[in-house]
Amino acid sequence: MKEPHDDRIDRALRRLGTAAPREGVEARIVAKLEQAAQEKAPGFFSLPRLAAMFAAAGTLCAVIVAGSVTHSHRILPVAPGVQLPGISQPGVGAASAARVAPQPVKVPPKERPRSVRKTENGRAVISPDAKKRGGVAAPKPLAAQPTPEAPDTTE
Amino acid sequence: MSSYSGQIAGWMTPAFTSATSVDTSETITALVAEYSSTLYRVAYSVMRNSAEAEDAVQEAFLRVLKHRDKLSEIRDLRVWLVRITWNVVLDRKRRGKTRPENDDIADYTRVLPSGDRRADDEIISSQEYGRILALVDRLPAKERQALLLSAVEELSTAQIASVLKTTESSVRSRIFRARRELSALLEKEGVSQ
Repeated sequence: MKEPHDDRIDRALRRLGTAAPREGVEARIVAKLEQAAQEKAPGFFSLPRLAAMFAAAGTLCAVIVAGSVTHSHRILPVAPGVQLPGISQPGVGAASAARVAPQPVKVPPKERPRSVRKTENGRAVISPDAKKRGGVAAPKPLAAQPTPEAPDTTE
Repeated sequence: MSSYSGQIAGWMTPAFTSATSVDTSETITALVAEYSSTLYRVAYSVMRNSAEAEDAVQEAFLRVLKHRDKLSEIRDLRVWLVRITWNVVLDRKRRGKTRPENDDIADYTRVLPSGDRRADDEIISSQEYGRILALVDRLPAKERQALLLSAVEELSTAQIASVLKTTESSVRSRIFRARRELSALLEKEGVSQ
């Protein structure tokens, strides 16, 4: 069965299907192919610019971090105390890495005002030179509730 | 064509020219000479713009150049090329990288038959042509594609089926449905005869 508008559809389709290209289309296509073939094959130095920029930025960051870590290792003072050789962990860990002291830590002289606390019979002995206020610090009782039973702390 | 073969033989192998590359270049040159018009019509049926259609054909041949080592394995070069062009134009249409349709008045002069009709008739006919194509674009994708490919006279139903990766009977039924629906749309729109 023929549709009522078949002729018009046929005419439109025929017109569409018989479109002719502009003159010289073959020459233009060949020229385009020639141009494409003459382009250099992509090599290492013709990577996309964005990738190259990312690589450069990454390298720069790595250099900065490595330099910073090296610098930190160089200037970090070796604190006296326990040094654990062999437990040092690899990687970037300037603060946590345990390092062996380059030389034994000297015992401080006696006169040095450090670690003056000494023990005697298991009790702490206060240095006679220590200047401390007499008595034991205790909270003051409230004025409204006197505590007569409170021990006398003043001697 | 022979001037093109020599030209292509030169640029396909800048360092040295082997027999195989010369064969390949001659094959591509022959393909350009033989199928560029058909491929242009295939592209134009979707693009409706002369420059866009030509760009699409160029891109299709660039893809051929890229896969020139497979040329010997292709059974039906026409179908293969039409399929490549078809994919190119569909990609371009999907991406929306198309110029306005029919922006070139010269397209009409190339399409319209130069008969003894008056200029007024041709303008009216062009308007109707544009309206019918606008209605074609409103058809479902499968029906529309089959109808547009059927407009290209060089393509048989079997070749259309191969391009669309379906069967001949399916292509026939799609074309039938498309025409029926288009007729109904024309009736609804009241496009005057």
